[in-house]
Amino acid sequence: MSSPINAILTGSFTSAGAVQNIALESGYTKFEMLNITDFGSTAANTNVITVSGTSLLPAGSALIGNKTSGAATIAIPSMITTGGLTFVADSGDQTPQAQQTGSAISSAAPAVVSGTTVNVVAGGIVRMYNTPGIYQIAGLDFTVGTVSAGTSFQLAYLDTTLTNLTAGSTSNYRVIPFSPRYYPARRTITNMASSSLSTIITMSVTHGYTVGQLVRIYCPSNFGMTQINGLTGTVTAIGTADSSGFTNTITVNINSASFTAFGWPTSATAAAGMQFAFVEPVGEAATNSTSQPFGNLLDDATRNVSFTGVQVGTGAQTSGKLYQWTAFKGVTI
Amino acid sequence: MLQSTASFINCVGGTNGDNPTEITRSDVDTVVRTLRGNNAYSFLTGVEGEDRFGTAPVRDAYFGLGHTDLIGQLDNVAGFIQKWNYPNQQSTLDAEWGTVANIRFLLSSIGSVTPNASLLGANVYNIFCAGREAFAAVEQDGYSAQFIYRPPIYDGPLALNASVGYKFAEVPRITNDTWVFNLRCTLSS
Repeated sequence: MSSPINAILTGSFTSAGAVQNIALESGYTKFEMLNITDFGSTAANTNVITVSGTSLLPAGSALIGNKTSGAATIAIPSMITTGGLTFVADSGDQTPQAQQTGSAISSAAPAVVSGTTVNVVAGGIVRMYNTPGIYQIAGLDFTVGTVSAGTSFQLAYLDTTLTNLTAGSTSNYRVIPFSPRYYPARRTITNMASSSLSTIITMSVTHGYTVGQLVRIYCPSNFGMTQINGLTGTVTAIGTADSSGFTNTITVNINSASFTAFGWPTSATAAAGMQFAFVEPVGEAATNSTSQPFGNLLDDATRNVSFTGVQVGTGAQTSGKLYQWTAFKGVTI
Repeated sequence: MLQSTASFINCVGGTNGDNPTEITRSDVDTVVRTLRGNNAYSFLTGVEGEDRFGTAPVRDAYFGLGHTDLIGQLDNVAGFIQKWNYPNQQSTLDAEWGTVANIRFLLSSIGSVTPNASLLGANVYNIFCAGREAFAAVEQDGYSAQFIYRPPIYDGPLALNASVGYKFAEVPRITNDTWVFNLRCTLSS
């Protein structure tokens, strides 16, 4: 990676209402955004029009200019300290954030963790541990679902109504700032079931796999479906709802109809030390079709998905709007 | 790359009350049994015993790549042979700490650690136990990597600033997923 001593970079993106990563060359110190879609609009909304921030600001901070409702003007800019801009030196650094404490984990689909929600955002990742009564999930990462600020958040793809998963009374958790450095990543299984001649597998973190990828399933004896342990299968579909209604799934061409049902072990078993069930990506099946007659798309190619640059939080953008951004770099003296 | 994608085996033979536990002989045997059962090739031939006091022969072995925090933990594993107790030092590596069963452990201060990932929130140490040709670095047409230095004369009229940069055209890749396993452990209390 290299960069000129003084430089300006620019680009654009259409907000999807989710955290947006802008990859930049190293050393950029100022970042600005302008809402192109709403420029000149007199509509009755307060969409985010301007955003700016510098590298010395705390992570998630920004100076925001919201549109004045009903007029083509910008309200007095406000300072935000969460959901703004974060200058990222290395997104592959998965150092967890500060420990937070939860009071309970509900028995529900998805499970709800009661507790503080500092930097816990929908779509983000938390690492759970110290979970008495439900030690089966201790040490695992989960994608976050709905967040009730300051009160609770969902573990989006965990159904704690399944056998042996019970409500927990306390927990600790830490926000994991980014996904693993390399794609495709290994993912922990939270549920698995036969479906026609295939198997639907639910994972705890958004998997990112694509149709055609080849995966190997590991299912230790304490998770029931031992017959599938070590088998490889081709992903034939993604996003099929499982029995709990979760869609962070892959469907693989493994006929598990005669296999022992998948099931979680007890909390006591987990506390004594155990293996986990997980999916490991191992390659790609050259699946030819009418729309893709050339087969192998190299979707499974190992690639470094980490970045250095700026992360735009949900508080610094309005969904559906086109933003043009400009990044500045100068010499620090 | 291995931390992101390799299969893993938790140590469960220890007694520290965590999951995974500290590393024990049974855990090392489990990973060796798995690698051997998958016909993984060992990296190193054995070291034949010699009539030297305090030494012991060393089995042909796979590599175990870990963090230096495991010093002391490995010494407590049943059957551990310290590098200095090998019959001869000709085939040892600088980073090598010792051997248990068919694993020769290489430790580094930048070994892989997953923070706060155990049942009790402790750090989990990843020991990558690999057979020969389990993973590789693929270079594009021999490009590999470039380190680029621009001296100050290219900066401006006063030649105040130099720049350095690098470009990579290589990627690590697991070539046989059944020949490498991440043996995860915590430290004993």
